[in-house]
Amino acid sequence: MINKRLSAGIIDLKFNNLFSIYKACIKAGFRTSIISTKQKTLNYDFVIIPGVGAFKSGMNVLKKNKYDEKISNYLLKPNSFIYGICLGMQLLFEKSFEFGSTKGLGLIKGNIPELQKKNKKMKTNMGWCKIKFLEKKSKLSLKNFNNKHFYFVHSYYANPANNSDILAKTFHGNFEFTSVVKKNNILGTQFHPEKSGNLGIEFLRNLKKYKN
Amino acid sequence: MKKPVRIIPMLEIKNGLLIKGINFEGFRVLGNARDFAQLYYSHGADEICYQDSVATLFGTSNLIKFVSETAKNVFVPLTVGGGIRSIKDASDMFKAGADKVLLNSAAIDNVKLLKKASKIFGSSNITIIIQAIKIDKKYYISKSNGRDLVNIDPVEWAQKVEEFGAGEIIITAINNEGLKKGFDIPLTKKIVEKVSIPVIAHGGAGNFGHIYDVIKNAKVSGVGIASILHYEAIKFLPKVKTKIGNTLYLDSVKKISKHLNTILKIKKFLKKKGVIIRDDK
Repeated sequence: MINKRLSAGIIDLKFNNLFSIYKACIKAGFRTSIISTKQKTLNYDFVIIPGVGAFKSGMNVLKKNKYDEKISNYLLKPNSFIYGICLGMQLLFEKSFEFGSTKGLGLIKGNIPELQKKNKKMKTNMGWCKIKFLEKKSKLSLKNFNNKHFYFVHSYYANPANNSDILAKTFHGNFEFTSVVKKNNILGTQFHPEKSGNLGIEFLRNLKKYKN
Repeated sequence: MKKPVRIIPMLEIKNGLLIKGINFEGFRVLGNARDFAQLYYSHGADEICYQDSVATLFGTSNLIKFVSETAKNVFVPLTVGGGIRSIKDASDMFKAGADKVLLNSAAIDNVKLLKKASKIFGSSNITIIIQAIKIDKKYYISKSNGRDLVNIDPVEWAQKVEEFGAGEIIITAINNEGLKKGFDIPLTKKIVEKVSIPVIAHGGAGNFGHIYDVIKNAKVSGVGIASILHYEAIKFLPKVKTKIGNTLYLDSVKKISKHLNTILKIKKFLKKKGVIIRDDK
């Protein structure tokens, strides 16, 4: 068997810390590159949408550089795979309610509501939280990561319309939200693998197992 | 569900060197900061915090270099402070690989900068460090690591910075810093009670019991630890070659070959006492 190194291309959303995810992908063994906005087609084993920042500005960058089209075309290819992290995952959905209402890429049905409006202490989920894979998805669950801590920092969360797209959930106080989504060749995590220590690097290394 | 209490190594740096002082006076060189950061990361630190004690006076360009060197191999959140005086400074720090920036002096001088920074970069990426000093039973805050006293009460300041968008507060009790006699629990507790954002206690950890006490009594989200970790790590990390700074202490350290994981020891101790910590393998 040929053990070819898989390639990962990272979309530059301009305002985020690209450095960490770039270094983490290298550490996880990918042939990693930052995607140039001039590139017309995406040719990678994995396309990663990282994310720190606001939904609207993220979407603006994607549209301005025609990433909405490029991603749709890329997803038609056999063996393509998109992985969205935090904001990058939220951008995969239909719309967000962050600062009004903004349309997303619409690749997964559902929206992005605010975590908590009233209780100030619960407004932002920052820190290490456990992810719990749903029972029936156990085949896909990569059990090594079940009930393990990953690093989260967010004030909005993904609310998928179809339960079948939900892979794992996480508690923020008493509130349970979706922390891992998957639909066909699209994966999203609300947590940051690049900030989740060795386990996060391990998660990236295992991305290929989601590809099927 | 409760989040694990974060154990955060605090690295005071100067020109990329890890230094340690007592009450912010009389600094000793302990080694290369990134060696320590790397070690603590591999030992299970939940976050790493860099503070450049001279950047406030000389600017941030040096610090940026050391941050990006550190961020190459550290895959937990990295908080960086020292000399950040503008949106551009903060932006440069994020680009270099910082996940959160620490503000102190700049926010005291112009609290609007805090508001602006939290809007641009997101509240959760802006941490305020409060350096509290107690003189004759009265508390003050301080700029430039204790060099300038400001007549503002730390608890009031904590409430104000929350209002202006800070996502998190590190409270350093300067009187306790480096003395290893325990944290300022009453002050820390008061701040925790008055704000809704996470509070990290720093300054005074001398033994594991101190760490437990501040978690139990002040209900902090995290604990910043320096001496306990550094003076163990120094025994087996490579010796630094430097022409600057006071290295007399370094020469006196007896080296050992075995790696001691103090962070894991702290976490095990806390877990036994019923504190939720992160110890995934």
